[in-house]
Amino acid sequence: MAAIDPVERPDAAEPASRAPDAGGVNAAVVIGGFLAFGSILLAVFGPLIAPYPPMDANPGQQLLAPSGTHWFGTDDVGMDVFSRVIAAPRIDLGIALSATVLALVIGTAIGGIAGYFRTWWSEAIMRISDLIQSFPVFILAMVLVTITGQEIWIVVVVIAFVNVPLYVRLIRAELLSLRERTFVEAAIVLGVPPLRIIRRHLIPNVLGIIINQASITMGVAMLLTAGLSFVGAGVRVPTPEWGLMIATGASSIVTGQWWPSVFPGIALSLSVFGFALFGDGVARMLGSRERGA
Amino acid sequence: MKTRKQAHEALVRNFVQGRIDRRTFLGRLSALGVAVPMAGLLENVAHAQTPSDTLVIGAPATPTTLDPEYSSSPQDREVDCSTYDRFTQFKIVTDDNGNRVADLSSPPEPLLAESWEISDGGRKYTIKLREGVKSYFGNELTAEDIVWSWDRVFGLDSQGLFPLGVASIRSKEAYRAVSRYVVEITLDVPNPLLMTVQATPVPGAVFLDSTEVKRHVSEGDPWARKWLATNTASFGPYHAMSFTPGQQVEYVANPNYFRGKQGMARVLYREIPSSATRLTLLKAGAIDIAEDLVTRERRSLAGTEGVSITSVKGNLGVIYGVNNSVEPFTDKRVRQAVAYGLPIDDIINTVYFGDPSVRLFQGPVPDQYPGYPASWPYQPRNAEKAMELLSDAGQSSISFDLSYSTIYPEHEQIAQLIRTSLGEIGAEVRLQKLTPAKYQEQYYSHKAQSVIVQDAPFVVDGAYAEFLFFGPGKGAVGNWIDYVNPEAQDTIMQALGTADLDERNDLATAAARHIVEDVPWPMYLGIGFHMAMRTNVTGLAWRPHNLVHLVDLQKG
Repeated sequence: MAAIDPVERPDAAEPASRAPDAGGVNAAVVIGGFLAFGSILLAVFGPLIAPYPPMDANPGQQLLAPSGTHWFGTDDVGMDVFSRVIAAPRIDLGIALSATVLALVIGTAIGGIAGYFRTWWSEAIMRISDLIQSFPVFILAMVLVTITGQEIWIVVVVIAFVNVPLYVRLIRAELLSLRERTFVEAAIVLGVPPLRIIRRHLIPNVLGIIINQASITMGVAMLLTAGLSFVGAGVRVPTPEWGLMIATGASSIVTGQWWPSVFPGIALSLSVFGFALFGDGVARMLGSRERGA
Repeated sequence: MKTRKQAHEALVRNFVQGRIDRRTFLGRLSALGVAVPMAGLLENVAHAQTPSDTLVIGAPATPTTLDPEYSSSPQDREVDCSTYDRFTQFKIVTDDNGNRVADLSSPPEPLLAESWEISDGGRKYTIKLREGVKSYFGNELTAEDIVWSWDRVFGLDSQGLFPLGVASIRSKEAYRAVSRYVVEITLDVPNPLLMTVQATPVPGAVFLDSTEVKRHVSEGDPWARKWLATNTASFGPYHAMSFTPGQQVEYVANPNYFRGKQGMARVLYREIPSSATRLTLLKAGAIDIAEDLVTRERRSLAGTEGVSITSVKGNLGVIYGVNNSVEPFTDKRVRQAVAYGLPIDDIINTVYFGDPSVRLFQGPVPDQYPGYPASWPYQPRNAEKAMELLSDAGQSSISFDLSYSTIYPEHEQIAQLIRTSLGEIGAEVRLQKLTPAKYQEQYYSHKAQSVIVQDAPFVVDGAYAEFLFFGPGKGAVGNWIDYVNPEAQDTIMQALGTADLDERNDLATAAARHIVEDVPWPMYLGIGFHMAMRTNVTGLAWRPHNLVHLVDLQKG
């Protein structure tokens, strides 16, 4: 049987928010990509290039102000804040990336099935998604981590769990319109099995949206990871993790030592901002190209 | 129309004076758009001074219960200190530094007991109660209240049995009301501690207004557990007027108190979990006393106008204990290796900034206690010796959990220093930061593999302290590390049953030497008693239980 060309794109109306860009690569992609790529580089090489061991206490060196020896100062047990800030992306990005991929894969699969098949159970899936989404994301994640345990893999699973409904809803909505297109009807007439239609012909048509959402999820997942650690429900001391560093350093601000929490705060902000900007830029770029096509 | 600043100040004032609860306060604060710069705001709010007749205490938590029989946290015990009076009290003197402290060398002084006679070779105590002592509810203290309070301890079969047992009151037959104001106690063995134990705010040493409590009993709750969990019925100086767990306890002065008018008409004991927030509020004058500030925060107060710190060496300790019945700590050599590997000097200098009140207790009891052995061969740190001991034990690389509570920020710093230091001798230490409830559940149930604890034996007696933490059987409620050594524990029990003080102390010292050899606690640091207060608050006194007694305090 001849394969159907998977890249027929429906000429759906463009959302108003996606204003066209003049060029193919916009500034958002460049700046966002730079920050996001920088975070990824640190996740890979950060612990290797850290000037001090990021998890070892250094007695007698506590709460030293930023200097030539300790660029970002030291924390309350003498750990070098700079070393911890650049080692932290391995944990923060690792959790965020794993959770995003997990949510994306599960959410896309469920959303694809729920969007293609219009049965009572596809409705049931949506109501369950509604139920999960009706809880505030952070509170739900906090409760789940507290109940299940404070391990990194549990944090990954929980963050993925609270994000799955987003993908389910997004993919289903796209597929509800796509499945009415003639290329899908053609595939059905040719006897292509439903799961193959979903995988080979529908999902590739929503990849741009998925990538855009994944980029946003990365930022949200990083914030969630940091937030959970900040309230004591995330990773454990002394793991270098931005939220945890902000939490442990925050109590020093009132006694004048701002650096243990401010530097990880800046790093977290830049990284989340980078992923959000990059995702937005990619979405604009894709929208611009599609219109051009 | 109010300016925004005036609105802020009015809001803070209402919160400080207890007119609005925390939820309302935060809601309105958010509405004013000042959630983030709140600390800065409070620094500048000179008008947020607490009212002159109200004392506001900032504590890390509110009590878990008001029932003295179930008190476990320091906050619980502070309720007992201030609402329930005891037979006796410590004599308070002024030390060389001008601090008011309990005189540990003097015998206890009368409080609810007007006088007592000891007869039958030290086995019989006849206690005459003070007449005219009235509770907040207006009921007079009688011998029936004493009997009912102790009956409740035995009826509930809970922690009050420990201090009563230490005082050799082991059954309901040991005491009786002879007349309206006389109680007679008959011990099976002479016990020199009875009236000393009765000076401490522990279950079994505090007395309830049984007339009032009996109004709240039911068939299913004959000891009014439910009512007493959230109410007080006492003959003491203050009465808990309201209790909102997680927010505050509001105390009012007992108008019938036998010692006359108290220093304060009203006391608000507020939960402010962050020590940094307590520090900020104290500096702003929004609270009068900030409990449990960390050393760094106390240091930052030096030279701050309107704030003073009271520091007493005291007996309060931070203990690093390992569970003697759980691998890898069943082997004494592993425990000794851990003791050799600990960075005690680094902890004192890094966590406590070399505070002069912080020192290593060289033995299993505080350094002011009879029976203190003053012998600790495991310091200064010796990593080679530690590794050698681990190798001898066939445990060259070990791994275990170290649990600590979120209540004390300094314990996290200690845990991190221990982790790094023991890592150098081949031990992988996994840090477990636990909520207070989970933490207490873990160490009271003896599940913690190793744990950092902050505690002090309330009674200044070596045998008592050793029995509490290292004694045999269920009675030793503080033996959460499951220490077992029949020879040491027999000596402790022998000491506990010895009335002659010299002989008792010698036995306690002998038991302490066994315990040092077994090293169930690789670290026992004395950390001192410290309290940060506004300078117009006076009267604070240190006692061996390291708790605030509201009856001491007044505002100038």
